[in-house]
Amino acid sequence: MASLGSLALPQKVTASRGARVLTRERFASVLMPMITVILLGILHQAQVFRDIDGRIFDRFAVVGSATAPTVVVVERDPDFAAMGAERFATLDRVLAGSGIERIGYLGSRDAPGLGTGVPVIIGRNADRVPLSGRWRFDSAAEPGALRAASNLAPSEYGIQRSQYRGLSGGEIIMPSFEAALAGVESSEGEFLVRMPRAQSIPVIPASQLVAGDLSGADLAGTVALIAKPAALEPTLATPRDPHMRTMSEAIFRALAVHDLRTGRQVVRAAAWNSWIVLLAVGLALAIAYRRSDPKQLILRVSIIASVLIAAGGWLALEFAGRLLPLTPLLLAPWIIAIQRILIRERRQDNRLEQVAARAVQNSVHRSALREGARLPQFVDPTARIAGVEKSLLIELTRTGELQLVSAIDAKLDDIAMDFAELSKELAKMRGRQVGFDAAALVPGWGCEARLTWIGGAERNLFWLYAVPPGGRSGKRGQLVRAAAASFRELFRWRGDLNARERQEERYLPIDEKVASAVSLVSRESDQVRRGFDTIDTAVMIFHLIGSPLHANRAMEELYREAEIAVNETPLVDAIVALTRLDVVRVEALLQELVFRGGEMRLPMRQFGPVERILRVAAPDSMARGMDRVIVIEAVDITELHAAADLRQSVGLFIDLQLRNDLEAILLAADLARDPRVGVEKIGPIVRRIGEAARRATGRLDEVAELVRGENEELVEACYPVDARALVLQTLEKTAEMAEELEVAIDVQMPAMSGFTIAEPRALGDMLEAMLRVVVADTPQGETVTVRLEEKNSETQVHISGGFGIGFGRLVYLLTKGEDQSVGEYRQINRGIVRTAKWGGSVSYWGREANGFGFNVKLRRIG
Amino acid sequence: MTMPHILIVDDDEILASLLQITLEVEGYEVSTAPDGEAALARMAEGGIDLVVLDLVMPKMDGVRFLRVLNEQGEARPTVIVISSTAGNTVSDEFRALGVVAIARKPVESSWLVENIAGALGQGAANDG
Repeated sequence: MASLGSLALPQKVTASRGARVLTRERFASVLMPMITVILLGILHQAQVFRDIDGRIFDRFAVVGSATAPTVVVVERDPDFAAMGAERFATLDRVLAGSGIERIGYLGSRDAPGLGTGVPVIIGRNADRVPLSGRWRFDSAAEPGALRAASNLAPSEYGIQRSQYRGLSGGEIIMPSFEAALAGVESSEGEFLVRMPRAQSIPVIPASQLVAGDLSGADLAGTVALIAKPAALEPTLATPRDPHMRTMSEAIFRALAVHDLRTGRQVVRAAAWNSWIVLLAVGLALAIAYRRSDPKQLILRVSIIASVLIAAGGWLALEFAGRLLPLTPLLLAPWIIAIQRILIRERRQDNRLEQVAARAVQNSVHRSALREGARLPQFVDPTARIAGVEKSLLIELTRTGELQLVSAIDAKLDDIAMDFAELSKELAKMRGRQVGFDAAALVPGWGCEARLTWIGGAERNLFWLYAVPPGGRSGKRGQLVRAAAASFRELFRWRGDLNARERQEERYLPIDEKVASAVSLVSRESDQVRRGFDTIDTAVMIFHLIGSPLHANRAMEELYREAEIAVNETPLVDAIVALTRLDVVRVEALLQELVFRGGEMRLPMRQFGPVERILRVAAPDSMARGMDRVIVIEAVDITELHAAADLRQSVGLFIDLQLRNDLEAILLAADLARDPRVGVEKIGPIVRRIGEAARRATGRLDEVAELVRGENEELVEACYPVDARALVLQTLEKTAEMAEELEVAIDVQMPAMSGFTIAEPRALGDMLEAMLRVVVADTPQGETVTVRLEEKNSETQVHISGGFGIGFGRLVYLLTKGEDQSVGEYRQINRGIVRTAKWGGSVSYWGREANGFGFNVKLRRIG
Repeated sequence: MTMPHILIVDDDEILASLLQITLEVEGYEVSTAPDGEAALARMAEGGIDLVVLDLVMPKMDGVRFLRVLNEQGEARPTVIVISSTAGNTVSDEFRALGVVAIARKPVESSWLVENIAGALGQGAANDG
C-alpha cells in the first residue's frame, strides 16, 4: 500500500487552529478551578460557611480523644451555702492543701476567702461599651483575688462552642475567666472549645470538700472552677452527645479551661492561611482533573480529593489546633468536577451541533429541500408519478389562514368546509403521522380522497389528494403514503436540525438533534448506496489514505472476480489487482493524481466477456485537503470496442471490395481507349464497367443496410467480419485449457479470409464455448479439429473431436432452455439462436465413442 | 512462335475477364481460374508460364495455392500477385514461393503488362 499519508498535504492551517484550541483548553482547565476556589474563598471570608465549618468541627471534636482532666468543678451546693461565713476560707484552705494550682470563682463570693498563696480568680461579667468594640470592667475587686471576665461568647446559630480568650478594654486586655483560670497569656479573640464525648470533668460538691469527705481525691496540679448550682444546670445548647441537647455552663467553661491548659484549644485559620490552602488545593485539583477523563474518573478523583482534604483538615485540627476552611475545601473538588463535566458536555454539544449542522449542509441542503418554498416542486411530480388524479397542497399559516401552495386538477373551492373550521381541524392534525379519509371534505372529487400532514417545522403543510379507483389504486395509495412519510421525515429532521437557527421557542436537546442528523444521514446514505447499486458502472470510493469507503454492487462483483476483498483491500492493491500495472507504477500515478486532481484512465484486466478501462479520479481540491476521496470507476468499453470493430470491419470491407471494383473499371477504361481492341469487344467491356459500378454501389448499399440495421432479413445487427481472425482469437482463448488437458488442436484454415456476416462478439463467444465443450470431452493426448472453410458465398467453421456424446443427449443439453442450460451449452444455445438472425445456421452431431462436433455456416460476402 | 500462357487466378469474375482481355490484347494466351483449387487443376494440365494471382479467394486462398504449388515440387511458374490486401513489396516468404512482383489493387494495366513482360523475359533468360 502506497504511503499516501507521506504526501505534503496542507494541514498547517488545521494544525495551528488545533494548537490554539488546545492551548485555550489547557488554560481554561487551570483557570476555571482557580476562579472557583477564589469565589469559594470570598464566600468563606464572608463567613457564609462559618456555621457548616463549626458543625464539621463539632463532628471532629466530639469524637476526639480524652485526656486526664486538669479542671475540677466544685459546686457551691446548698449544704456549702448553709455553712458559716468561714466556708470560703475553709474551701480555699482545703483546695490549697490538695495541691490545686488555681481557684476560680464563677461569680462573686458571698464571704471573703483566705489568702493561701494559691491564685484566686473571680469571674465577673464585663459590660460592652455602647457603640464601640471595647469592654468596661467592674473596678471593684476582692482583696487577694484576680479579676477576670466571665462573659460567654455569643452562640452561633444556637450552638455554643467558642469562648473568649480575652476582652479588649481599650488600653488593656482583660483575660477571660477561662484564660485566667488556665493561667495562659491573655490575648484578644476567641477559641473553639473541644468537647470530646469521652472527656470527663469531675464535679465535686464544695460541702464535701469542706467536710473533708474527699480527702483521698488527687486534685494536685488541677485548677478548681467553683460554680453556683445554677451554673451546673444544662442551659447551653452545645451537645457533646447526640442524646444530649444541652450542657451546663460550668462544664463548658471547665472544658474551655482544660483546652487552654492542655494547649488543645482550636482557632480558625487566619485569612491568609485560608487563601494559601484554597489556592493550593485549587491548583492541585486543576492538575489532577486535567490528567483524568472528566466522565470516567471524575467521581473517583473527587472522592479521593475529598478524603485527602478531610484528612488534612483533621490533621490541622488535631496537631496544629487550626480549623481550616473545610467547607469550601470540601466543596471545591465537586464544584470543579461538575464544572469540568459541564464544560466538556458543552464542548461536546457544540461539536455535535457542528456535526448536525454539517449533516444539514450535506443532506438537506444538497437534497434541494432547503427551502420550504420549493416543496411543491417535489410534491407535484411525485403525485403525478404515483398516479394521483387530484391534489391540493395547502399551507396553514401562523395566523391561521389557509393558502394554496400548489394543485393538480383541483382548486380550494373544491373543499366543502368552512375555511375557519377547516383551519381548526388542520391545526389538530399537525404532527400526525397518518392520513385521514377526506372524502367528505371534497365530495366533488368522486374518488377516494385522503388528507395528510407532511410537515414541517417552518411551514405547516397539508396534502389533500385523490387516487383514482382501479387495478393499481392499492399500489398507488401505498406509493403516495410512502412519499408523504418521506416528506414528513425530511421536514421533521430538517426542523430539528435547524431549531437553533430559527431560535424556536422550544428547547431541543442535542441528542435529539444528533439523532435527527444521524437518521437523515443514514437515510441519505442508504439511498445513495442503493442508487449506486442500480448503476451498471462499477464504482468504488476510497479515502485519501487508501482505505475503502464504499463500493457499489457492480464493483463488489468485479472484486469477487479479481479475488480481492472489498472492505480490506487498499487502493493501490485494488488497482494493481484490477489492472496489469505494478505497485511502483500505480503509486507514481496516484501521487500525480492526488497532487494535481483530475482523472486518469488505466487499461483493465478482462473479467468475463466485458472489456473495461479503470477511471481513477480525485477532486481538484484534493491538493488543498478539502475532499479527501479517490474514486475508481470501471467503465464498460465493450460497446465502444464493438463500434470501433464495426468501423474497422466496414472500412476494411469497403476498401478491399472497392479496390476490386475500381481495378475492373480502370482496366475496362484502358481497354476501351486501346486502339488494338476490336470494336466487337468494346460493347462487352463497357458492360463490364457498368457491372463493376453496379456491384460497387450494391456493396455500399449492403454495408449501409448492415450498419443501419435496415436489412429486414437480418433481425440482429451484424457486420462483415474476418472469420479467420475470430477463429484465431478463439484458439488463443482456449489454448491454456487445451494445454492443461493435454489435448492437441488441429487447425485448418486459409492463410487469408474474406468477409463473413456476423456479430463478432457473439460469434466469438459461441465458437469459444463450442471449442471448450469439445476439448473438455476429449481424452488426454487426443486431437480436436478446428477447420475454417470459405466457399463462394458461405463461410464454414467446423469444430469436432471428443469422446462423444449421444445425439439425443447433445440435443437435450443444447435445447433445454436458457434457464436450464449450463455453462458453455447455454452460450452455444444463445449463439445458435443469434446465428440464425445473421442469416447463418449451426448444425451439430454426436455419437458416443465416436466424437461430436459443430458446423457453423455463415454468409460470405467477399 | 508460341506465346507465353498466363493463368489468371481470381474469384472476381468481372476483373478476371477484363484482365484476360487486356493480356490477350498484348498477345498472350490467357486462362482463368476462380480459386486456388481450380488453378491447381489447371496447372496440372501444364503449359502455364505465368500466374497472375489474387490472394483472398474462396475454397483455397492465394497463399495456400502458392504453398501447395511449392510443395508439389514441379516446375514453378512465375507468379505476380495483385490483391487488395497485399503490400507493394515482395516479402521473403512470397519470394521463396516464386512471387516476382506484387501490387495492391487497383493497378494500372501498363504496370501489369510491363511486369509480366519483364517476368517472362527473365524467365526465358533463366531457361536459356
